[in-house]
Amino acid sequence: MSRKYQSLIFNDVRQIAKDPMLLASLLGPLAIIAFARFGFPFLSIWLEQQFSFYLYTYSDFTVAFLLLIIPLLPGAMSGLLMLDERDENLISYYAATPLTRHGYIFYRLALPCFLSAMLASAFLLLSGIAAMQFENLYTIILLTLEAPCLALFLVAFAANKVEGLALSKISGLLFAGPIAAAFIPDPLQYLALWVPTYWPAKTYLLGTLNEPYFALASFALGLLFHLFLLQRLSSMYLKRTD
Amino acid sequence: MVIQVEQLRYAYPGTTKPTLHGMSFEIGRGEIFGFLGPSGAGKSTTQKILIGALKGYEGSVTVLGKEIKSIRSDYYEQIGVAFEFPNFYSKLTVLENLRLFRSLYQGETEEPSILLKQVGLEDAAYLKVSELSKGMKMRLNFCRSLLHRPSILFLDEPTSGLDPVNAAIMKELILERKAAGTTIIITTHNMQAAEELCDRVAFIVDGQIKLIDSPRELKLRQGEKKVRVEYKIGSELLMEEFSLHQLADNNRFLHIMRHYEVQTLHSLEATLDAIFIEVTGRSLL
Repeated sequence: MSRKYQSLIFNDVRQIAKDPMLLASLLGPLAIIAFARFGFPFLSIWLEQQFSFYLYTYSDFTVAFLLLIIPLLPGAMSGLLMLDERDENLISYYAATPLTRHGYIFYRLALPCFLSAMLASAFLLLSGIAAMQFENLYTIILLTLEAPCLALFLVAFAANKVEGLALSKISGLLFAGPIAAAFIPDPLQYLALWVPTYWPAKTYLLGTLNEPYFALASFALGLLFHLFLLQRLSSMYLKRTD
Repeated sequence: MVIQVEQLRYAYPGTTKPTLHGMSFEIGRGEIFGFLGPSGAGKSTTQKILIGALKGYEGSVTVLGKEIKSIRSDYYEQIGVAFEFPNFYSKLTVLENLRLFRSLYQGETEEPSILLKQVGLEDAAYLKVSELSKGMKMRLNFCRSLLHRPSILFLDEPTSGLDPVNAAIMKELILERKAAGTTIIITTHNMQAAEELCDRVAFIVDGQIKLIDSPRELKLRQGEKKVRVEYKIGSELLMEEFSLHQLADNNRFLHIMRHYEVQTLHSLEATLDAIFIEVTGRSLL
């Protein structure tokens, strides 16, 4: 990795350490993995003993639900850092350095992708409740693309960091994706096709149902949808930055 | 020539009306060249094209022998840019900011602490940027543009919003770079700063260059070759003008010099402001 990207990472670490909210975005996925690994078994035993409720019946849904939170956190973190940098006119400065504007955008989108891929893989491997299946690869790819989509959504629609924070709350709507994929019956479920998080959740759940071809189709459609979103959002962002 | 521009035309995407209409100019090595003009005249667009931020232009723009349309990221190793509004990570210290920006360059770079000393900011090295005054931020902005020893410096309104003391410091710093051989391009609507700093200025109005010359030549050519004397006789203040031609033989002038209390004595060369208004029919504000 070139020296400039190393310095940018080092600078981000310094900025994140000084901002509790950004720090929470980074530590959040680790807390989710820890909860799935250690909290979920205790919770299911407690619910079973107290209310005869079998939480393990919903472990596939729980995995799909918790998994989608992982890319949202680094995605929101990157989006908020980009808004900060746009507020401070730093992007026009970077554009006049050897990093260039493309290098800057590449870095700001690649970092959450990398974090999402690593943390989603860590969740699937370490949570203890995820199914070990080939379709997890599809799910990780779709989740990796969720992070830059959210970062670009924030910078395309928010005028500043305050608006960005408000918009990041709206990303709570993304929880509708796995809920629709897991619980809403078929024709009605298609109303959720436009929710990006529907696709990784659906792909994962189809994998657990031993539906390899449907899972592949869901992955392919989800991939196209995410690439379309990335293209639209990045052109909106570039227009706004110009 | 370090910069050669021929028949430069540019229209922003989505607009039909061009912002620049066929500009041509050349800038030599070690020269301080000023773009002067009112807001919206095309100064910033010209600078954006020269720094490679806008590439969809017509005509030819060659900087350091390379056509701007075909430059790569290594072009930025050779130019330094200081924007009008200092842009830094405000929560980080001065030194942390400079170290980060320094690492973006592959070529030889200056030691930030030495540069800070040169611009009188050595005591601010460990202050957060948010704690700096406007004048300090402007000096830091200038300092950052020198980190990679660029051969061309682009300065956008370098004295904007500075008090007279800080403006004088900034001008001195710019002249030091010129003495070191750096080519400097200044974009400004501050005529006084341009007059003091620039070897040549270009007046830009409505996307066109109306005139290019040295401020001194312009002032002499467009001014009156006269001197104005204000003097006092008793409590009465009087004023007279004399032609500079054979002034030493002008008996009336010599009489005033010898016998009255002279209050002011000025040659009547034109000011850049007046020349700008005369040439373009527009004021700078």
